[in-house]
Formats: sequence, structure tokens, C-alpha cells
Amino acid sequence: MKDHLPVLLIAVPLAGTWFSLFFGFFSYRLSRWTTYGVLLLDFILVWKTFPKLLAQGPWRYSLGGWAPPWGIELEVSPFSALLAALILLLALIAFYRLGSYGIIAGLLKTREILAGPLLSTLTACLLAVFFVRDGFTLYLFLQMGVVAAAGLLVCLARQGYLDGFYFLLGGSTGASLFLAGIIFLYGATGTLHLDDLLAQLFIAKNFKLVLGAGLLLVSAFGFFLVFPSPFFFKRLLDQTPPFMLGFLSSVMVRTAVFVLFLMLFFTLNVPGLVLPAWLSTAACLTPVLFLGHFLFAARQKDFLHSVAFLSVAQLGYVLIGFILGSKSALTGALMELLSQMLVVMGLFLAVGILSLKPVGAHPFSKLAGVGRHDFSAALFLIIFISSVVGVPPTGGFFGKFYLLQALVEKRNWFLMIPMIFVMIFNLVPAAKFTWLLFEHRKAASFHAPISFASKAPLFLLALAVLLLGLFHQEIIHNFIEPALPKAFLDLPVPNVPFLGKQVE
Amino acid sequence: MSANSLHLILPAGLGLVGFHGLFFYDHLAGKTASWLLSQLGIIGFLLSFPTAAGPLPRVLALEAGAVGLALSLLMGVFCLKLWKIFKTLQGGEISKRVSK
Repeated sequence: MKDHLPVLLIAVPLAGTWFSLFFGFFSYRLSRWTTYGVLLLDFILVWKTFPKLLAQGPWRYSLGGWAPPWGIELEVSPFSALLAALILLLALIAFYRLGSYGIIAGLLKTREILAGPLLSTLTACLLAVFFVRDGFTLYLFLQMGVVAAAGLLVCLARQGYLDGFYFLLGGSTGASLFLAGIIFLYGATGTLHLDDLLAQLFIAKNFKLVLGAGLLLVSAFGFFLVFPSPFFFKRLLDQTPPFMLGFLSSVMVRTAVFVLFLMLFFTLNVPGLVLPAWLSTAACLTPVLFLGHFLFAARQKDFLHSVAFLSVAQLGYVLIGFILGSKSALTGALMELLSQMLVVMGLFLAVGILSLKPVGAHPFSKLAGVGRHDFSAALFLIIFISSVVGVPPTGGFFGKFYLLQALVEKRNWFLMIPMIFVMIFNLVPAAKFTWLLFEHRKAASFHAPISFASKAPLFLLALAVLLLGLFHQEIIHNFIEPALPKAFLDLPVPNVPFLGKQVE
Repeated sequence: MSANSLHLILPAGLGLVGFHGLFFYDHLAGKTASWLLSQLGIIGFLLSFPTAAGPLPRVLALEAGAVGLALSLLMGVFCLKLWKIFKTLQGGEISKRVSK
């Protein structure tokens, strides 16, 4: 059984979906507990992979013993297993919040029953995206994940068919662009395996082909990267429960960013490739555009919209790491990725918990004096905001620290100036927000007591953000460094000549 | 342009027309049809591979076709549901009514 853990990580939630759906015909409670059980079982299975992964490194598993391209190969690395554990934790939290949302919003039981299996399907697909090593299977799971996410929006959002349709269309277009890029590469190299693609591209030395495929593959993630920016998803934001927005933007968007990392550094990173000037300029401008969302976040009067802008804005840090591409930069980017998953989910959850309405407007004025009524809730919010700003010892601080180190090493002033500007700028809204939480104002503020059961997920996430910072050295050493491209690993002899230090 | 690349014109054209329609049609059924066209472009590209490449491209085309068909049907169901509720499939019009 232990030998098949990689495939079980995907098979358990996928099989559990059917059980949960089947039990839903008989009992709402049974269906709900089945979903809990499936997610928890998968979390335990991920946990069981850690000893082997930490001792022996990445775990390769061929499904049914078939080799690629006909067989599906899975690769579980320490970092992807850590991401999987985080995703399962966030899925459990989202499912837990779904129960209380169903009661508050008067959600139909049939929709609530359907949401459980859809959530486990989405989780299974995202886990598969981390582990599969061939381009076509990656596309299939990405596409299935988009369908499950659109289904969740239809189930949970008020009048969600239009938003579900647009999400399905946008996500599927992204997945199709990804497929087009993969097929483009397949046509030129004759392989779909992501590791083999790099070797074939190196042998072919066809840089124009790499650039063409790269453009298709990168543009595939455009839709996911801008989710849930209020510029494009305003109606969706106002009609979807915050915990679901948090789950999608922390888990789905960050998974897409991780796939982008795999594509850029493990498939298209052909030694000797030089980007044309127009592409380098566009690449450098992209993170600046994302960081610009911090200015919009500070201008909002609605907590939910501000958090949505923050979710998009923070991706700018990760993209800076990808553009620099050095060891410090990628370490910082992956550290940011971990920290952002927790913080984004925490902030969206806080919007839902601190609001009396299940959906709609969530004005900041209602948060005035929350800290005086409930100190712990305010403290959790301050921890999340501190991580966004980059205050030690949160996980966000160490991510930004490594990114700044990389910017200094590379002397990239074009990206360093906006990043430092944004980090200083963010101190002002963070201080204002903290002041608001402890402001002594009675009128029009939030006074309802918050139960411990509601705050428990916030506590878990805030604790995880702090632990990420406190144990950053262990996390970097055990999880992040092995996930970096081979050129940055301290291997005595490179196992593939052209990927080793000699060329780099 | 070589003669070998001529057979790629149809899939590339389908793909481009499809992607253009996705962004410029307001009608949801039009968007669905455009998406289907873009899928046909991808499938056409896979089918244009030489037979010497083995059976894999055809298998991939079959799978991509199945996924494309299933998704088009799903989008069709969404359109049908929206038509029943709003009696129109103009995205802007539905959006206005939903936002009220």
C-alpha cells in the first residue's frame, strides 16, 4: 500500500467524490461527513509521504507500470507534497465554512450536498496538477479543475449561472492555450513528458520554437493570474461567499502559478536562450502592473474588494522572483507562494466571519473597534496584514527578504524601485487598518460576538503564517531548495551534463 | 511558405477565428460556438501530424475532442438555463439584470 501512495493521493479524493455524491441521495449529514473523511484521509496520506520524500528526495511513480507517453508518470517532490498538504488543509477549512454559510444564506440542501463532491474533485485535480509529469494529463486535470470550480460557483453564488459560465469559458480558454502550447512543443520534439521536453529542446536548439510555445503557455495562465481582480470579477465578488473566493484565489490561482514555475524553469529553461528586448521589457512590466494593485487595494472602502486587490497584487512578488530566476529569487518566490496561500485564504475568511451578511458589501467602517470587542480576531487580521506588508517573523517577510536579496545581487533597479516603493507604501494602509480595528467608535461598527468555532480556522492560518516564518530555514532547506532547478542544487556531479553547473 | 505547412492553415484559421470570437462576441451562444471552433483548430492541428508520428496524435485528438464536446455541452446547458431565466443570451443584458 505504501508503495502506491502517490497515486492514492489523487485517487482517494476522486473516488470519495462519488461516495459523497451517492450518500447525498440518502442523507445530507452522511454526505458531509464522507467529504470530511475523504479530505482528512488524503491529508494523512500526504503526511505519510514526508519521511520518504525528506530522506530520499522526489518520488517517481508510473501508473500501472506503464512508461510515458502512454503511461502516466507522477512525481511527488517534498515541495509539491507540502503544497498538497496546504491545499487539503485549506479545502477542509473551506468545507467547514460551507456548513455555516449554508445555514446563514439559506442555501438549498441539494446545492450544499453537490458542493462537497465538487470541492473534493477540485482538490483532487489540483493535487494531480502538482504531481503529473506529462503535458496532456496536466491539461486534462487543469480543465477538470476549472469545471469543478465553475460548478462550485453555480452552487454557491447568488444567480451564479452567468459567472459560472464566464469562469468556465475563461478557465477553459486558458486550459486550451496551455494545450495548444503543449501540442506545439509535441509537434517539434515528439514528446509530452515535461522533463524530456527540456532535453529535446536543448538538442534541437530551436529558440524561436521555445519562445512561441512559451508565449502560448504563459498566456494560458492570464485568466488565473487576474482572478479575482475587481476590474474583471466585480459581480462575482459581490455574489460569491468570501470563503469560496478565498479558496479559489489562494489555491487555484497559486497552483496555476506553481505550474507556470514548472513550465518556465523545468521545461522551457533551455541554456543559451536569450529573450528579445520587447519580451524582456514586457516581462519586467508585468510584475509592476500586479504590484500596482496595492494602490487600488488601499483606496477601497470595501473590505472584500480590498482583499481581492491584495490577492492579485501579491502575485507581483512571485513574478519578480520568476523574472530574476536566480537561486535567492526563486527561493523568495516559492516562500511567497506558500505564505500567500495562507494569507489570502485567511483574509477572505476574515471578510466572511466579520460580516453579518453572507454576500454583498463589506464596508471597512463595520470593522471599527473590532479589536476592542474581540482581541484575538483583530490579532489574526494583523498577522495576515503583517505578512502582506513583510513584517518579521511572518512567512511573508522572509519571502520578500530573499527577493530583495536577489534584486541587489542582480542590480535590477527597474524592479527594485517599485518593490521597495510598494513595501513602504503598504505600511500606511496597514497602520490605518490596525488603527481602525482598535478605534473607539460605537456607531455603525461590528459588535456581534464571534464564536470560537468561527475563529478556529483564522487561528490555524495565522499560526501557520507565523510558523512559516519561524521555521523558514528548515522549510527552505527541506522543501524549497530541492524544488529549484538542478543548476541551483549542490549536486557533486550533474546527472545530465547540459543541466549541470558547467553550462550555468 | 512550404507546401508542407499548407495543411496547417485550416487548423490555425479555425483556432484564430475561435479565439477572436471568444473575446468579441457578446452573445453567450456565439462565445460557446467560438470556443468549439478553437477546439476544432487544436484537434485539426493534432490530426495534421504525419502518420509516421505513430498513433499518439490521433489518440490525443480523440481525447481533446471528447473534452471539447463535453465542455461545449456543459456551456450549452448553462446557456439554456440562462435563456430560461432571462429570455436572452446577450451577456451585457444579463449582466445588467443580475447586478441589480
